[in-house]
This record gives sequence, structure tokens and C-alpha cells, in this order.
Amino acid sequence: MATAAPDATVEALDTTVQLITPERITFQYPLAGPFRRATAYLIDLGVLGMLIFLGLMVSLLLALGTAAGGGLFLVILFGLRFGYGALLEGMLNGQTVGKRAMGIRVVSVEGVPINGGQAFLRNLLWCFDGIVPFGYLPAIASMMLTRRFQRLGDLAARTMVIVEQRPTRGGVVPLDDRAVEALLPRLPARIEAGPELSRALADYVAHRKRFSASRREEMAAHLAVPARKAYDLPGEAPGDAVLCALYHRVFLEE
Amino acid sequence: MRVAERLARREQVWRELDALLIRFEQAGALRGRRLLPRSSTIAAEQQEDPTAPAPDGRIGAAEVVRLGELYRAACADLMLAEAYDLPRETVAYLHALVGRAHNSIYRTPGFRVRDWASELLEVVPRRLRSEPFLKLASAVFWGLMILAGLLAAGRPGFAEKIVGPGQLANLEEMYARPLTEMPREDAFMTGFYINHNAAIGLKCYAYGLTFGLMTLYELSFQAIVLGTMFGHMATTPSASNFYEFVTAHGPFELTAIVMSGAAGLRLGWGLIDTKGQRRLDSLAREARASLPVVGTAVCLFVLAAFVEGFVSASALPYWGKAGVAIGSTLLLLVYVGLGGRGAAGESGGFAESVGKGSERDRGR
Repeated sequence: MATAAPDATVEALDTTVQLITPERITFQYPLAGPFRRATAYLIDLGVLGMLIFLGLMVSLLLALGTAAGGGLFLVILFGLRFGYGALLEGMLNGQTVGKRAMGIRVVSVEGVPINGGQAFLRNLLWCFDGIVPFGYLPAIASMMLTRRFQRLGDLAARTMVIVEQRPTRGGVVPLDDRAVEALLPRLPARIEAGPELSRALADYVAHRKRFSASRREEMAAHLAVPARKAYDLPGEAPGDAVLCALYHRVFLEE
Repeated sequence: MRVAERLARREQVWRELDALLIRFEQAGALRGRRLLPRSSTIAAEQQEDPTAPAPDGRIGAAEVVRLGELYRAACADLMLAEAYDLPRETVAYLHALVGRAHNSIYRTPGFRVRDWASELLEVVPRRLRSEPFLKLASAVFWGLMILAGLLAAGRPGFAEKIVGPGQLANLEEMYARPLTEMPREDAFMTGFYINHNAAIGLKCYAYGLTFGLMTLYELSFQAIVLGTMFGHMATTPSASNFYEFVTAHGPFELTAIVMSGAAGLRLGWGLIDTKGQRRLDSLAREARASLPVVGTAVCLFVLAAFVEGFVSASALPYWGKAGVAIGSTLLLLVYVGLGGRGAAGESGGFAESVGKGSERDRGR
């Protein structure tokens, strides 16, 4: 089991967790921190409140106002109190309503989905994590002290909460700028860009739209000055265009 | 160049996987069962081919197979993307895509009644027989309860100090009249007992996280209060009413408290005696091992609540209630003594795999 989750000490200091799938692919999940989880919890509380109200209405209706309805309501209350999170997480693949709304999911530390027992356990231990006199202190303290933001219930059930991202598809950015096109013939036909250079170029081009022209110049200068020298480009070519041309050559052309 | 070309070629695959995942996520909870139609266009025609993606939102076999193919393709792309220094955003996109597909493919097994039944009827009794903490919890609970009972019966003033004069007066007043003359609210009381007692049991378990200390406290507290009440009521004129009331549900309820206490202590002990594992792994191991015991305790609490609500306060003659008590005691003895003896070695699903872990640990 421990082999699936790589050693914590060798990983980067980051709020992501690496998983190795049975296909021997390593991929990363961002972990859900206390704030996202608290919001999900608040949403769940709202849903729970509505369900309890619904339960009250149903039990009153069924019992026509007799005391037996109160008994039914108390049973419903008990079921919701201890079963809401467990049943939802067990059946909806690790998500309650609030977690779904916040785009987070409970998975076991090995990255596989949780089973019913884990769902029950982590929700049962919530009554210690969220223990009333200390106001969720055990849960918060435990999340702060563990690398995977696990509360005590997570630790006992060997689960963690991850963020399921849906980043928009970011591909290669097409560039059609006259300044870039003018520079392209001056560059060599093939540039052997190492991983660092290509990553830097990709990052710059992906984010350049957000900056003003002068800021772009300032940022691009770090790379543009040595590039102008290396490829003998005209000094008056804007740094932004130089980087875009490099990007074009590295990613878009042969 | 190869990068742009490759991306353009794979783009199609990723889009398809993305769309398929959205369908799986929407159908997710029901796993292939019928869903409400997503759009307003309710398909008039029934699907002829069961493997084709059905218009009513049902997921066909073809789609499941396709998901597997696309997932493996995306996995391969992710590895290539990292090796070939693709733009960071593409890599992030692929990480997220593979992550989502992974979650759709490796799903929660959900709840299977058969597993839980075999866990309850076979694994738990086996574990209870070899559970030192059941003995410890019983000793603590019964010892303190008997001690408090004797003190409350023998020493005037003890009960007032422990429970408080107000609550004692309440208690005496409650049982001052024969049970048959009391207003009957069977169903309400059943619900009340389930909610109240089972919550105590579950908390007793969860508090085991404090190295078992709060479990021990909760267990002792319940024992002392109960024992004091029992002892005190023996000295009052309403003793017969009181004992008639508590007879029938006593065995189930008290056993349930002891069992949840034992489970809580085991949880706490997992933090203390790690058996060579890391402390948190040891906690996880004992938590998995003790959870089914708590499940059983909750079942007993529910049973006890029904007995308490419908039998204890009923007009049934005393020998009937005593019969219920004796019957339930025998049932418990048979359950703990004989349960799961025949089925040892039989393999099951989740339940057995949970059980196996702890048995392996014990064997070492």
C-alpha cells in the first residue's frame, strides 16, 4: 500500500499529491484545503437542514400529528446525522452534495475510490473531529499537521480529499503577428530547446495576454536579450516578438 | 513540428474522453441504471441496440469499452507530454483529464447487502471472541455499575451526589405508578431511544481517538450513572415498576454499550501499540478492524430501542418481559459464541477483506 503513495519526503513542497495508477502512470491531484472543505461542509449543512425539515414534514404527515411521528422524525434525524455523509460518499464515489458543488472528492490515499466502510468510518469520526466544545479544532489541527490535509477521520479511514480540476483545454497558442513573422526567417530552422527553455516559452506565451505591452517587454527582456545575441536578431525587435517567434519555432514548426 | 501536430492529432481523443466522462459523471451514481433524460428531448424511440449510447442517458457496454480505450490513450499522452516538454497548460489539462477518468473507472464498490450481512454475522462474532478489549470494557462497565449500585443502595446520600437530587426525584416520579397506567407513546419512545442511545454508542467509539481515554470516561460515566440509578431505585417503593421496565431491553442495550466501548478502546489502543507500523497506519488498521463491531453495536441499540419502546412499557406480564430478556441474552450468547464458526475461511468481498487484515495481524 505504501508503495502506491510515494514517500512524502521526496515530493516537492506543494499541495499536490502524486498517484500511480495501475497502468503505472503517475499523475497529480491538487489537495483540497480547509477553506474549500469548510465551504463544502457549509453547503452540506444547508442540505442537511433542508432534509431534516423534509423529514419533519413527512413524519408529521404520515403520523397525522400523533406522537409516533415524533419517533419517526427522531429516527430520521439519527439516520441523517450519522448516515448523510457516509451514504452519499459511499454511493456517489466520494462526493456529498457540498463536495460536488465545490469540485472536491474523497479518495483513499492510494488514489482509488473509497469503499463503504471508509465512508462510514471517516464520517463517524467527524463527531470527534467536529467535537462541540472545541469547535472543529481537532479537525483543523490535524489538517494543518498532515501533509495531505487529512482530518482525524481521514487518517483513520486512510482517505484524503482532492480537487477535481477541469482546466480549459490549453493547447499551442497560434501566433499571427507581423513582427513575429518578420523575425521568423532570421531564426535557425531548428532550435533545440531544452525542457526549461520550452517550459519558460510556453508559460510566457500562455500568460502574455494578461500584461500590458511595457510589462511584456520587461518580462521578455530576460530571455530576449540573450536570444537576440545568440541568433543575431535586430536590436530594435521587441522582446515580446522575439519570444513569440522562438515559441513558434519550437512548438509550431518543423 | 511534431508537438503541434501531435497535439492536433490527440486533441480529438481528449475531447471525446472529456465528453464521455461528463456522461459517466452524470450517470455516475446510478451506474448504468436508468436516468432521467438530461435534455428536454425525451427520446420517443426505444433503443434497439443495447450497446449503443442510449438517448435516455443509460450507458451502454460500447461506451464503457470506449472509456477504457480513451483512458489508456490519455495515460500514454500524459507520459509523452511530460517527456516532450509540452506546454505546461497542456500537461495540467492532461493530469486533470486522466485524474477524472481514473475516478470514473476505478469506482466505489458501493454498498452490497451481502457483504455487510456476512460481516455482521460471521466476522464480527469471530473478532469479538478473541477481543481482549471486550473483556476489558465488560469488566469496567459491569464492575463500576455493580459498585455504584451497591453504594447507592447501601449508602444514603451517595445517589444524590452522583446523579443529583432533581434527577432522582424525576426518576422516582416516572416509575411511581405501575407501567400499565402510564401514557403509552411506544413509537415516539422507540425513535427517541434510537437517536439517543445509538448516538452515545457511536460517540463512545469516535472518542477512542483520544488514545481511548474519553471512551473509558464515557463508558465509566454511563456505568456509574446507570448503576447508581439501579441501586437507588431498589431502595424506593417504585422498585418493582422500575425493574419491570428495564428488564426486557437491558441485555441488548447494555451489551451494545459495552461493545461500542470495546471498539473505541481498540481504536485508541491502535494509537498506543503500533505493532511496528507507523502510528497513523496502526490507527487505520485498528479502525478498519473495529468499525464492524460498532455497526453491530448500532444494530443492537436499534433492537434494544424497539424492545424498550414496544415491550418494556407494555402491559405484558412480567414473565413475558423476563422471557424477552432471557431470549435476547441467549441470542447474544449464541451470536458471540457460535457466530461465524462454520464459515471460517470462506472468502467474500469487502467485508472479508476488511476482516482478513486484522486476523493476519493477530496471527503474527
